[in-house]
Amino acid sequence: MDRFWGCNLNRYKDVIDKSSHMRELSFMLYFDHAASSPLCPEALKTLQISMEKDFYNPSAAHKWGRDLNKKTQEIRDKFKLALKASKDSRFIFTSSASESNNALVKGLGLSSGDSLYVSFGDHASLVKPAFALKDQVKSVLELPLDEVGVPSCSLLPENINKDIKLVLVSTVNSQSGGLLDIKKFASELKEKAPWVHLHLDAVQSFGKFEIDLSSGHIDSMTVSAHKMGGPKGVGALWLKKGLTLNPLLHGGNQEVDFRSSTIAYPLIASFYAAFEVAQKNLQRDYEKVSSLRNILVNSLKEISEDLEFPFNPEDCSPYIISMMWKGISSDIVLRTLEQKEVAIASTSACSSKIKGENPTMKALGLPTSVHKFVLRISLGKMSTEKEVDAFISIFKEVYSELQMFVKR
Amino acid sequence: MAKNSILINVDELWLKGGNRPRLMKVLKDHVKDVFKAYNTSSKFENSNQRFLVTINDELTEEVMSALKKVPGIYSIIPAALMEKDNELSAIWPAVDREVESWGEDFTTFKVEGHRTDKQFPKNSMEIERLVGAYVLKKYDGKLKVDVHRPEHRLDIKILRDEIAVSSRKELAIGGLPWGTSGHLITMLSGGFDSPVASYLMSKRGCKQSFIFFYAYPFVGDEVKDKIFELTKVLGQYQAFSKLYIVPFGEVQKKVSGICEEKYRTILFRKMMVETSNLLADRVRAQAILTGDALGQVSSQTIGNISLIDDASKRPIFRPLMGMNKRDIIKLSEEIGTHDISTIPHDDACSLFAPKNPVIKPDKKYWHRFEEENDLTPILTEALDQVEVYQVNVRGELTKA
Repeated sequence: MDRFWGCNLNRYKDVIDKSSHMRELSFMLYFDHAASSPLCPEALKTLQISMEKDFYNPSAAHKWGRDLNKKTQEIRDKFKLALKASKDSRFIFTSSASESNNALVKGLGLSSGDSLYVSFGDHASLVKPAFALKDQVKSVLELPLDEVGVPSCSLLPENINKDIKLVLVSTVNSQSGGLLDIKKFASELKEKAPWVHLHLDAVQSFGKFEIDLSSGHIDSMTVSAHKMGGPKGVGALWLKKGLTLNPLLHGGNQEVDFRSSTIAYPLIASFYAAFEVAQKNLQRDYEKVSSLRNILVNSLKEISEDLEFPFNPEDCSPYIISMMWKGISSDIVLRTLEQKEVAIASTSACSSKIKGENPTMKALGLPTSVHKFVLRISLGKMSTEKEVDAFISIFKEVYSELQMFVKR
Repeated sequence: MAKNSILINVDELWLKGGNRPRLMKVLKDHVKDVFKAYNTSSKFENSNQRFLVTINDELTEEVMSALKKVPGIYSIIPAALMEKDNELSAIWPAVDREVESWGEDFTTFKVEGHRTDKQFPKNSMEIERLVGAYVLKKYDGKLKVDVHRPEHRLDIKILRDEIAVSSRKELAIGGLPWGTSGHLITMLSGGFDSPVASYLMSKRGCKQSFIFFYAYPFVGDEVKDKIFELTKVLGQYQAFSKLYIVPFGEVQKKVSGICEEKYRTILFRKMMVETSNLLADRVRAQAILTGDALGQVSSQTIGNISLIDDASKRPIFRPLMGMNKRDIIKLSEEIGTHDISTIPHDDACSLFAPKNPVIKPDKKYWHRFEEENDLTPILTEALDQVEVYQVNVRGELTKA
């Protein structure tokens, strides 16, 4: 397909790195890595081989099953080692980050005297389980956020109430990209309220930022494979030593009483393969993506002052850029880019006729009137400068093409 | 032995004189299609102004509702065909069934007897008296005869070989059989008006090809889904129809770039009508159908309508011209498109809408624009990329 809706795709051919994964993905430009990333070659290879060969049930009593069980244990230990977590802590494989968050929030057994803090600007898999407890606990409190949408201990009351039993935070906010200094936050929180269970959703930072669980300030953590080059369908919940949960899934007790389900060994092996590469190149990828982010933001700013960045990119993860183009619905921008084979995300599902506000955007401090203008451009470690250049030149076109529709 | 049958009375065909046999055949084929689509086997017997259809199974409400949407049918009467004997004793089970279908509450009725077979030894009056006496005796206290304004009419028809017993009569949409008064290109949008216009012209016996101008990327898939849903409903008033989705966003963008802003909306209308004419050339349709109502929006003023008429080489039918919005919405409720039309969606028209659309167009500007810009090539290019779907009589839509 060389032509699509009158748009000549051939002209983008030369700007796209032919050695990259984009070769397989035809000529599209993918800038929605925060939603899901393509598999990295190592994860793909591991998955292919393991899917074919490792079909045994890791809970089976025969030697083939036992062997896979042993390998699963080894992977757990390697994850824990890389995260500087204690050997006796738990690394429970789940089907997704949403499952991990649900299992934790619902499994802690909070009761009518307990309260919890959650950021209303966080991912729905944290906010909704918290609200599902509303009738069961004393109160679900809104965690105050700073300008980039991350919590800060200085915004919490000096004396934290004894009934607060759980605090739910994310290292990186998936919409604003706001980056939490988790080390600082965790130690300050534990100084103020050592009894609190601090749960970290690290989905947007896992395999992208160093995570150190050795201080003991973090009590549990959710991670996922598919946002860092691993396969969809596998995530994990890390639990500090000594903590227990009421399981979400009852059955064969495969994950030592915490979760029952046949161990998905090929997914787990592929997950680790992706993590291992990501961990090895952490610093290099961070520097590369930061420089791509800078190029992107500066070039977009050069296109027009109309393109605003509501959350200061300097204070955000370089992997996520939140941008606002006031006066034109983000859906139209998304589809115009899509027409030119460019994928980004629009944070609003609300079209011009459906005047709904976006609760996440509201919690992040944006007035309702601009919710429908917010775009999210997200990078992955496989993103290249050539892709960024191509993106900029296409965005310039789109910017001028859509000028006549901008309502001022 | 009782047989299930349906009497189908035709509507305006008595007007048609010499054309009548042809129209009857078209109508019969349409009705056959309905039975076939609902897996009901049927046997037809023509009589003068009606069909007598014998079916193997009970008539379901689903089939009844489908039959009511067949243009050209005046009424549908489900009847039990009973053995013919001079004393009428074989019809009592069918009479019981009808009377019991009227419910538990006290009610009034009237018996209406008819003889197609004039050789039958009892005349209509005698039949009525006999059946009335049977019912009153058996359902003593529950029923009363009211010859002037009865709640129920129990109809006894003496046919050549059987006696038909019925008490339910459903009115269908009436009008003329499908396709007997031409083929239209129906310009469909997601609003209330065009589906109602389509329905009205279905009643007038028009075969329709639906056309939708899809303003992607300015609107998204949800609008297309809405058009699919509307077509599924409107297709049930047709024997068979097609939906043509024309990609139009690029055309609208190009034209917006070269015309005066206040002419945008009316120019889009013109381009849509021209494209509909191009489609009409391809599918051999004879007229264009729109949901315009006079003065409803700026493109529906007399001045603008006359410009649009000039742009069309075929007549444009506007059955809603004299209707108020309220009446249109009421009709949309009756035909089943209302709840689809109310689903909110992005509207490309409002996106492109000029601040002050032209009400009294300047013909000089218009003609100069037409002379300087031949849009036929880009409209043809858009039509070449059309996506085609087909809808059967059950309203099932598939990619063509």
